[in-house]
Amino acid sequence: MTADALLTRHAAAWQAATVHPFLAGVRDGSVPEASFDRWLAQDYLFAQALVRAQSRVAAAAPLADVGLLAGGVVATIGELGWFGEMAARRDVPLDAPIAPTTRAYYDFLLALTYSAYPAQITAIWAIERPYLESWEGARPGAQPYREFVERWTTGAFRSYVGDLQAAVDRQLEASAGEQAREAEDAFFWVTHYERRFWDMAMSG
Amino acid sequence: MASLSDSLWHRNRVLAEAALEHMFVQGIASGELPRATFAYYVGQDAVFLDAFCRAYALALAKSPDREGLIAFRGLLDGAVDELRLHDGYAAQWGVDLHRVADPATAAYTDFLLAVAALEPVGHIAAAMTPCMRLYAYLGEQLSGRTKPQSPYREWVETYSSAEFEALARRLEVLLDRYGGDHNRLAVLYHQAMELELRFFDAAVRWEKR
Repeated sequence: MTADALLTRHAAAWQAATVHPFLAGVRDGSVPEASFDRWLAQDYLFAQALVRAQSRVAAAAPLADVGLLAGGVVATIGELGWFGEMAARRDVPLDAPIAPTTRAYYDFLLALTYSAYPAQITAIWAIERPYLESWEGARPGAQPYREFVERWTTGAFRSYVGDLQAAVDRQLEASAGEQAREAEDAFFWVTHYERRFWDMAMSG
Repeated sequence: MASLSDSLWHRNRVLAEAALEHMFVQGIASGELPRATFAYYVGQDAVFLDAFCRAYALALAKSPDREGLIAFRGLLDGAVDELRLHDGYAAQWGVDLHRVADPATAAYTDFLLAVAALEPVGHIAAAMTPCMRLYAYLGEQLSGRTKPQSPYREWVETYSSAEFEALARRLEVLLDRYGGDHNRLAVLYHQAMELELRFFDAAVRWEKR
């Protein structure tokens, strides 16, 4: 199995995770500011779980992947700071209560600790790759949201996602049976939560 | 002074009442719950119990003393027995025990496994107690009201039994003994109660699909 095979096998779920009215609204400016700000506050909470999950995955990763994953940790820490600035500029309080979807996604990430490495690295890749595609689809972005679109469509981010995908392929090539099934499950759940996350932003 | 486990239970009484009044639970008592809904619930509950057993095992491994080790072993045995009971139900009700988790189940099992993997033993007990206490409560409340002809009597009898009450009590004793950060314990307890309600919601929603 390869990462691309997962994309093909779950094409509908993938599509739902990366093409969404929220993103179309970011592109043409029709997304209500309240929805965007709700997404911002919840994504800030999500990033806090992500950085802990990345750290734990890095701690147990094969040495060859540790640098890549540690780079992800540093990037997410940077992102938390950047979210803080953006939130201040948009006057969005960052102490919002955690929404049920965010909470379930958060726990999913922390429970990843419990899976074998192939599922962990697959999940980390599956979280980052839709971001690239989702925001690509929102380019160039209506004015109030353009900076967000730009953040996740840079060459550096694309290359990070590509490196993650290569790491996933190395693992999946060697995985069979239970480990492969676990990795596919992780992929499926990430697409599920990504879609729900956009839904939540739109509908509260 | 009320014990920690008592005060957490009382602070979440509204949710316990909501569970008791839930269409699913009332359908168990009246016997009018559709069989297919119950079968779906049992399939999801088997997925849930698998994670519940693993969370007990992680708590056991983290127990700071031998009393904890022994108590969690007893609780794990109880949960494994419950899982076996589900095999019996499966045959009786035509349940697919290898169903994948639905979102409400996954949210609950991930919650349990995250707490069990990352947090100390008292916090794990706080995340696990609501399931035990709530079911003991539902069993006790339903045992007088369940119609003799309800096909779900056995379910009610399991959770209203003295054995199940003893297991719930045992877990509460562990929660009281190990405790932890009180704010965090309250969040975990409340979250588990909410996830219980969502679990019933999911079974009923499935029925309407």
